[in-house]
Amino acid sequence: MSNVDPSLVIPLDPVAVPGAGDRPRSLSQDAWEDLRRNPIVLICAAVIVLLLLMALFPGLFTHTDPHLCDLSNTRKGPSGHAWFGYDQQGCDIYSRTIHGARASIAVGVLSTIGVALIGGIFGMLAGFYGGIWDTIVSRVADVFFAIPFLLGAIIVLTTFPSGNAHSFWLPVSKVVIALTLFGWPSLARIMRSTTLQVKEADYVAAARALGASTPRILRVHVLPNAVQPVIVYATIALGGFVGAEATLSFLGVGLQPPAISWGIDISTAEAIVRSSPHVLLFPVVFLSVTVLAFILLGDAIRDALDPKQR
Amino acid sequence: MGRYVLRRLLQMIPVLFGATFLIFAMVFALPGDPLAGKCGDRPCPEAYAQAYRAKFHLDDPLPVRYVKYLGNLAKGDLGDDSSGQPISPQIKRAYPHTIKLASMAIALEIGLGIGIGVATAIRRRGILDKAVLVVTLILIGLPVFVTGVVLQYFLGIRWHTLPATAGDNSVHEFLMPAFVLASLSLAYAIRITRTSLAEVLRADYVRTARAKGLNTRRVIGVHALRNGLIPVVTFIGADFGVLMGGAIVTEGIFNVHGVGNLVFRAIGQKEGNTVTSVVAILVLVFLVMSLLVDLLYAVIDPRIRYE
Repeated sequence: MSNVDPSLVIPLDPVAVPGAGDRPRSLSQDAWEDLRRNPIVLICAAVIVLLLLMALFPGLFTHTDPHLCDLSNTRKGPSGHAWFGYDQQGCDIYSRTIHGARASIAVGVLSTIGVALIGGIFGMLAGFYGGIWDTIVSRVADVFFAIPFLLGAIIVLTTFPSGNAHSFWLPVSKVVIALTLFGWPSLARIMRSTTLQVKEADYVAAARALGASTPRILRVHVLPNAVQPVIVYATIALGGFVGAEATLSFLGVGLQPPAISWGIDISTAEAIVRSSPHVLLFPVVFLSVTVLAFILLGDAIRDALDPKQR
Repeated sequence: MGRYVLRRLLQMIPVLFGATFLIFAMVFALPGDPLAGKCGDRPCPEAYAQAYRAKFHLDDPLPVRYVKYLGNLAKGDLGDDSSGQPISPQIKRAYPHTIKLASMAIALEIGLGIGIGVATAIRRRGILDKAVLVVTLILIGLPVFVTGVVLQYFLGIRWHTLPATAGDNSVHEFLMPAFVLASLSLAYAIRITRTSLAEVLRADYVRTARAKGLNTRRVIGVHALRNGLIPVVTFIGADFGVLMGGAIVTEGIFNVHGVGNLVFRAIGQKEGNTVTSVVAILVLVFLVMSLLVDLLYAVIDPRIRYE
């Protein structure tokens, strides 16, 4: 084959030959093109942008004070004046639902960042250094992984109760710590297995031969390869954390009134659902749409990154 | 194979100790004087307080207390709760309910999950497929407590289809709680079965089986399912341990007197011994189940060998 004239070789697939100005696309560019055209992704992204706006600037959506409740309005149904009606205490449900987004988004985003940082760092170190470090990190991760997620979070939050704190961030950060503590092992496992694969690659050996330092190898070679599975997992986990916050608040150990959270509102609505179902409906719909938006987005990213799907 | 199992069993030991110590330490760090309110409005008599502190080793440092707890545990004694009631009978009373609830949930996952998954994989993009897609998305989006509250309201209170709470633990009463407990995993089981079977149905060996004239029933039932079910079988197997621990919310909503209810009440009442003992059992079940699933994996897929 070595003496074949290169001009005689006919390309098997003419389309695959890059023409002038048409550079071949990488896997992630391909995935991006896929995602941009996927209607589910567009809907999820729109929902998430809307939720972020609600969390950051609730004033854009409502001017009614969610804490300003009038008992004479108790349990009134939806009307032109209050779109979602009033709850047991006569608070405007529309306003409470809009303001409830902040707690869910804050807990979801912060827990995901916490899990990504702790799980990512420990997973990478365990995979890269192996030996005793791997054993220690893996066994510690096993301990936190084996304790049921919700049960562990409940115990942490009962051990360090927030009481009736009027600050917003104190109870939120406690919920975030509880969720991070029992959520990091999954991400550490993903990171560890990616690192194990990349570590053996030729380009890592080449980088080492060229004198690259360990931090540089981790930053330039391991991290970019691990980013994709981590993004997929983190997006899906964010939806899960939003649901977990609502569950903990529903059980009375997460955020406490006077904080506003969908979980708290669902828990108070449960008691009066027989006479006024509308009180339950709105926070439930907002909560599920939020959870679903993140999970579906994560699913779509995974499908787009999976070359087998093509 | 034997060595693999032995290694896995040995690995469980530090995990079990680590998990129980973690819970033990946290539960005993619970704020508040354990004797507060024990004797009504007045402070407890000195003699009682001393006997109480001695019985629960309250004056020992944490590691010593943990070792003493383990010592009792090794003798099969789970200790007493703060009102002097022995803990093991409480757990023995609660455990069968949770096992029953989790088994029914698993049965639903196997029956409905695999059944619907196979049906939708065969007729992709049909009406059933689209309807199932919408239902699974709703189940995935709803946190379990919301599914529980909503179903309890409609099926139990408004339409009286099923009992709204489980007072005397019959199978009929457990149907709704078991479905709620399984709901999230059920949705995933359907999706996993559908994706995996659809992929297998495109494989060359399935085409060969069709080409040599086998009927559809045999092609799907024998050739495709054996490979297509591997992911969902491991998923459902691992789920049993998860469901036992995840039953807290479901048991609370439907008033099932299982371990979830027991441990949630124990956390609220600062019953450290009870919480630690229940968690220890849950962790053990989880670890054993994950080992069994890994072994099952090798049974279904002969390409996998454990050295």
